[in-house]
Amino acid sequence: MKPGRAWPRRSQAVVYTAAAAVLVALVDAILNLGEISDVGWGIALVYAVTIVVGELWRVSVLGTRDFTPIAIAASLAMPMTTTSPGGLATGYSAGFVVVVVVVATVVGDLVRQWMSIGAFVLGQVASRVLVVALAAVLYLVVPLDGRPLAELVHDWSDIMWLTALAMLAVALVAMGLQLLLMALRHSTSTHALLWQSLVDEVGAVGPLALATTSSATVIALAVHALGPVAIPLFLAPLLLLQLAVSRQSLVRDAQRQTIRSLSRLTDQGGFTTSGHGDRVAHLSLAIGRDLGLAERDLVDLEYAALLHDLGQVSLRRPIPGGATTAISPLDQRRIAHTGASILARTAELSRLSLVVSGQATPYRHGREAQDLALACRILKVSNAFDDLTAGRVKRPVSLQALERIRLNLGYEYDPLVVRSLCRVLVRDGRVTPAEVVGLDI
Amino acid sequence: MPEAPQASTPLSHARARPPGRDDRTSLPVGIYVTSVCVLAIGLAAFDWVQNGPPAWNAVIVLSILGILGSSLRERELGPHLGVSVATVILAAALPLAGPAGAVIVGFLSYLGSLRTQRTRTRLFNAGMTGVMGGVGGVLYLLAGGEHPGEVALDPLGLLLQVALPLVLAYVVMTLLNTVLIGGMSRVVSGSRVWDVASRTFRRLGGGYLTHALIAFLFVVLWAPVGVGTFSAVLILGPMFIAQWTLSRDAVERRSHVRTVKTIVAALEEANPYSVGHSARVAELCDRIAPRVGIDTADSEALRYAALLHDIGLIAVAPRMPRARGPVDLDYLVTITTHPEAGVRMLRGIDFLSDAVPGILHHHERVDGRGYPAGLAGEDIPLFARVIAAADAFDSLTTTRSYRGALDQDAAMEVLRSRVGTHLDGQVVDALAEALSIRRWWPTVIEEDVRSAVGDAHDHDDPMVSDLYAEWSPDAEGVR
Repeated sequence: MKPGRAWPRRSQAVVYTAAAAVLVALVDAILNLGEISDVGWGIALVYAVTIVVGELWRVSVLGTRDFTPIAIAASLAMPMTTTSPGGLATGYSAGFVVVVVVVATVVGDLVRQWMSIGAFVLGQVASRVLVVALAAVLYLVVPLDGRPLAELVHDWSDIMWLTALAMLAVALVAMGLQLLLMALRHSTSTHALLWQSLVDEVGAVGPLALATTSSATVIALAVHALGPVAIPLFLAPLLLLQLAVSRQSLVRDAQRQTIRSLSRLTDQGGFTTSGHGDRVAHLSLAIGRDLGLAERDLVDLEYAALLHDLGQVSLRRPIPGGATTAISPLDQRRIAHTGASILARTAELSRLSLVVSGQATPYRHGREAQDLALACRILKVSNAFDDLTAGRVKRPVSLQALERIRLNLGYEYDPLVVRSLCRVLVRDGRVTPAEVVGLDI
Repeated sequence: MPEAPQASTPLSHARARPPGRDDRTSLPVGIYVTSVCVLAIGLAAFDWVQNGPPAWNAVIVLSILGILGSSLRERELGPHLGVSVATVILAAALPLAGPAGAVIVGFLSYLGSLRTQRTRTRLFNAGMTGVMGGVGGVLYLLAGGEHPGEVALDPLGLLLQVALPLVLAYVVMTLLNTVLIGGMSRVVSGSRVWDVASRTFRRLGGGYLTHALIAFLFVVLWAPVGVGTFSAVLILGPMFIAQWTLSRDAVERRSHVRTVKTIVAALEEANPYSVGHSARVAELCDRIAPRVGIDTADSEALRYAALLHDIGLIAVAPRMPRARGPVDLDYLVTITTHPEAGVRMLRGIDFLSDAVPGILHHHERVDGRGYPAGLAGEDIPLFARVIAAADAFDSLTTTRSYRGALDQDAAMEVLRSRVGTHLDGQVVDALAEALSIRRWWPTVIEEDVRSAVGDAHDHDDPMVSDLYAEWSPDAEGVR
């Protein structure tokens, strides 16, 4: 499929652009090396060390995203640091800033890899380059009213808040690019829609990103009064926030683990084949991303998929093979409702109960009643597919399962979702495009 | 900054208040709160006369920010690291607004707090914060602190003439804070001032100095850099976000415990004889925990262990032979797999890792003839010994298909006779002590439910434990 191949190209483009930016920056830095003052070298060193340390200490937001608030704050503050105490200029050129940040980031990432707490990801370094280059060019190069912003702010020394506002604006624009690049990476790796990824990214790291930009601004301002000491000192509020965020992701992890172990309940009791819940969740997520669900809904879909067979614990004896698709619709519905009613009693998981109870409703009935959520329809299809394949990935099995599902298309299963399932299976190489065409879904 | 809690809950929870005490103590409390407020006003007036009026611009902005800050409940970020915007504002008021200004900022911040509070708590918090601001402001000046907007300072000057006096004043303010809280709890619940003060102070720890650091950053950005009011957005923005994140974290933490509890309860409903069993065992464990030296942090793990101790039954239930007549070998063989099945289910849940030993070994016996590992005496984890006693006690005080529910005294009699063979003496004594304070009422199951369900074995019945010990052929051989 063509659109599938377009994604890696986008992330390659990011890396190439970044490499070009580094080359230009290197030339610019060498040409203007003489202008950097002694104070400037000292401050640059502190920035570099801060970035290295910041790279080592990342925070995972919502358990999945890597974000380095400290390194980003220091990287964005550096181009905006033009004066030190006593009014001495630092003399940084845009190229010099980019080169220092790149070297520090690469060193930080290599140390990380050496300490085996993370891998060296070229894409992340590339996006750091582009973000810093944008901030540096906006602040030091682009002429506004004939002069770059860096010189313009000298005239505003009695209205400092305006200077602060200008710096904040530059940092915000650069942070916007950072989020866009993060969304691009995310959508490349998960095949989600770019726009949806961006919305998710902003929703998840938005508060942290805002705090990072404001920290970058205050560091740049405070170096003027306090010197290089200001760089670690003014990161303190951001550190507190980083601690708070990582504490929150611990609770999220706990929730996630609780759901996962609940989903194993039915495996342990011998009600379902081992790993059924995990596979249905995985497939449902892939379909949900393909159909452009928002991250919140994806999390709910994943949890509902993990717990969709919870109602089976009420059975006296297990269904053979645990395949709910093979039993009577009445029993299917009873199991679904038992599971849903257990979930409905909890405040945290009651959102999932609608999805779990809706999994037994045929698509057609839902369409007549106009109330079957997309999540239910996805769960229904991926559950049926996994019951029919029972975890085997060989090609004829997948195709046979699709043929069985096709028989009930439009009545039991939503054609939109089944088409999406086909796309996902083609991408994973479990069926060929020609076979899908042959199915005529 | 620690504040007085809602006055209806006594600060010293170890001491129960006799009913009606509230009315008699209201006069001393009133006098105490009034004198704190008068002291705050006196400090402000004294400084005003000495040094002239405060910097109104700073006072107004800081008071508004303080009200916003005090409206959010203070959050703890791990041990000894609190996040409280209001505390930062009060500390920043010392250099920016002067002593009189700090009194006003502190007083108004807590007087205008948007949280619902009893008037007397609100007044006390406002007065206390005012006094702290006044004393801190005077100390700041005495320690050589400068108003950074009036004198131009180089980096070293900022550190020596703003940061250092600020930290000194802040430490004294924190001490004053804990002593005033101690005084409040003395007049409210009669506990000793020093006890409460030192307990509050220990809880704060050194990490609390971060507030002074952030206040210093705020001051630097406000005056020497000259950003003024806008610095509130830049410095306090991240603080507000942190405090808000932590408040959501607290909500999620509570709701997570509730979820586990609810799901366990729902799963128990398959068997009418087990309804509510896990929750009752968890309550009994909660009562025993402080008496066998399990502190607050560990007691949460114990609560989870108690709630989930029988979760493995779900995995075992489909294989369970139908109960007919007396307990037979088939039943024993099947039931002994449930602790391990439970642990298998909970594998990979990080927050339960402390609870797992308690779940795995809750059917061990101190004579080494229990299951699954045949541990004896002190080798059995403490959590497991606590759960074993609570489990047996709840089984005895609940109706079974083959006997009625025993009352508290009869059940304790049975438990005492089992010390040394089945149960741990220390834990049984702790349970007896806990029950002597508040009585335990048996859980009676109605006749119609019993006849509808028919015969059912109870694996928690001490009798089943004895049957297993008798049968367990390899207990001697293995050891």
